[in-house]
Amino acid sequence: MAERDFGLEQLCPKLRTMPYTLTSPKDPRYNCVAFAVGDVKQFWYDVNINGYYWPPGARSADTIEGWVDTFEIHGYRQTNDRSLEVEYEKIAIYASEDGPEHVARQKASGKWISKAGKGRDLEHELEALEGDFYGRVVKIMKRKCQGGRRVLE
Amino acid sequence: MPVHNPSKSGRAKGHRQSQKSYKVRRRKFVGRTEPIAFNLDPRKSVAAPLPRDGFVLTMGRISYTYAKSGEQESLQGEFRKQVEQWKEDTEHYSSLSKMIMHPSYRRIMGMGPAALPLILRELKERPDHWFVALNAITGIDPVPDRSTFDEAARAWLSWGVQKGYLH
Repeated sequence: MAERDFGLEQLCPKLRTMPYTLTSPKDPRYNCVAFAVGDVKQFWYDVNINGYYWPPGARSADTIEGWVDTFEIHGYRQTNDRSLEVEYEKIAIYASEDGPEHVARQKASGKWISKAGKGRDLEHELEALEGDFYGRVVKIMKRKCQGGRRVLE
Repeated sequence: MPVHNPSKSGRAKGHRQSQKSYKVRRRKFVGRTEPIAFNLDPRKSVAAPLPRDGFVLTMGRISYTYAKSGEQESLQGEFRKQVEQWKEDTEHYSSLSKMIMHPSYRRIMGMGPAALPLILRELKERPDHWFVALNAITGIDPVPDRSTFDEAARAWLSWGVQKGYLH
């Protein structure tokens, strides 16, 4: 039987009815933004103390614009198409009325994968994390695979 | 930037409150009563020197009183309780702002210098986001630029050993 994250299921009830797979242990060292760009050593956030990283020039980490800036810096551009396009890598930003809450990236298989805060990485349906906690998907961004190859699997 | 709102599945809400500068006042028996600025906006400086002994930290309508030396045992119990609550409630947050605006994190910061050995030991044994609290309590940042999370933790632990807070 597949392992479950009951705490996350409580926050994201759609996980109870949609399949998901936990793919890592809990780790506070990196968050969903870091994971989406392939960094598992830093927690990406703009704070005026050392030990955190936020791309120079990107707007506040508490704004959707700041997250969009961050992914634009990494070559992504906004799109409305959340389907799998094999020649593109895609990310999806979730936001609530408070601002950006979460980001997932699409794998070559078409499944989405993300890091749940300080918790675990999981592979999931894009809609499975939508709800009161992470809000809904408000931005899809994509970048062309470099030389036909994905930067991240 | 949000503050904690238990009514919404343990989430943090309410960005406006974090923009306030809170004040730390020494208790009269310590001998000083002047306020010390204590800003919780993480993008601004959160560092502010705190008293070495008992004090009252006022955050809006909430006041905390802690840290007379004879109260260390109860402080440990309270610290443990707040850490567990904070970890449980913030595990799935992506936002550092939400983590540090959680009432338990603010309560731990409000414990002041007496909590430094406890925070450092916690950082050593179960690494988590204690850098903001350590910075706010001590007024310093011993972490080199561009450090990763692990490097930041090592820098704080090294500082703790050097200052005698950690063995």
